[in-house]
Amino acid sequence: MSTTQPNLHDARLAFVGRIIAGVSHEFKNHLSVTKELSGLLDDLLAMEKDALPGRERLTKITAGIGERVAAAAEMAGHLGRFAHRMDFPLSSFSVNEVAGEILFLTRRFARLKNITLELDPAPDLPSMHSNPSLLQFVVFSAVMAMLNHLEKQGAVRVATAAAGDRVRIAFHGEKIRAGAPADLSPYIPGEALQALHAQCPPVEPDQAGIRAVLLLSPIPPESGG
Amino acid sequence: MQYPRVLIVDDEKEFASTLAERLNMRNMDATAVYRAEDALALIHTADHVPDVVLLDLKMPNIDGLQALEAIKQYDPSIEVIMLTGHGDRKIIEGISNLILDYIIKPVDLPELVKKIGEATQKRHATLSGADGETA
Repeated sequence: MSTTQPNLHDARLAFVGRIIAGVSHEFKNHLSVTKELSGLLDDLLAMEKDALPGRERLTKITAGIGERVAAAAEMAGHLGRFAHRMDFPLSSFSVNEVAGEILFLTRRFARLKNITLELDPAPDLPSMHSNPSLLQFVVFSAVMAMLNHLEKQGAVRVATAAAGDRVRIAFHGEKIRAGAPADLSPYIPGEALQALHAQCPPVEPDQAGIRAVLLLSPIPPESGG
Repeated sequence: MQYPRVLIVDDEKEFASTLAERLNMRNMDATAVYRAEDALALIHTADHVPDVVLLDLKMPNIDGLQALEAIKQYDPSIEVIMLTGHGDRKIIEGISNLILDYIIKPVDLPELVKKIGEATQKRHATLSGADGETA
């Protein structure tokens, strides 16, 4: 068998990614048309001035459509980029972008638990050569573990920091439930950490609010992930 | 005063035609076509050379990149603004010397109108310069 042939797992991920990317492109096309049609209605209403009864209400409706289209387009944009992360097992990327993307897409799960989700991105992080999709899976696993151990009105803050050629990602929780484990890193799949060449050192109980820390090292290109 | 001549090339017909209608309401002479082949045919007609082409990146048959190359070969003074769904940063970087700019869909109309204005001014300045050289 050729060494360049992707394994079944990578091939299936690429397949899922392509389908999601294609659908998110289509969503954006529909949203583009919706926005232009709503905008055209707005233009026509503006030409009518005060001659049309209910014009003010119709204008408010088109503004509401515009806001929803903008929100949906932002989501489709994140979804498309998320999907394209699965195109190749290894690539160079910004950890802040990759983390920001998955946190955006995880917001719904946090919102359903009445918990806020924030990224505290450090400036000037080194670019990382690794598996961005797998990193997103690890960040998602850590965040979901945090969500299950916080009270309502709590918050998860994900903070990035440079650590030499490595990047440190810390997961802070606010309003942690009584009896929650001090260290949530066991909830992050070890196999994923191994494939990422990442470490999750045990978290000291005295570190206020930090429940998991991820240390991400660049994967040498020749290792093939 | 001559209105900016804008050619919209996008296979999403309703998007292209509605955008053209909205640009025409803003003192532009905008035309929509839905295939790159039709755009190239139109540009080759002397009466229809646009100042600005709004060109969708991904289209069936001749895609935006091929159309861009053909437009620039025919008349380098025509300004092109690419329309793209997801930014496609790497592709855009690769053609940055051939295009004025790019716009991510759904379109922010005030931003697009501003860019069309810049593109039209740039083209007219280029043409005036060329006239000056040949005079």
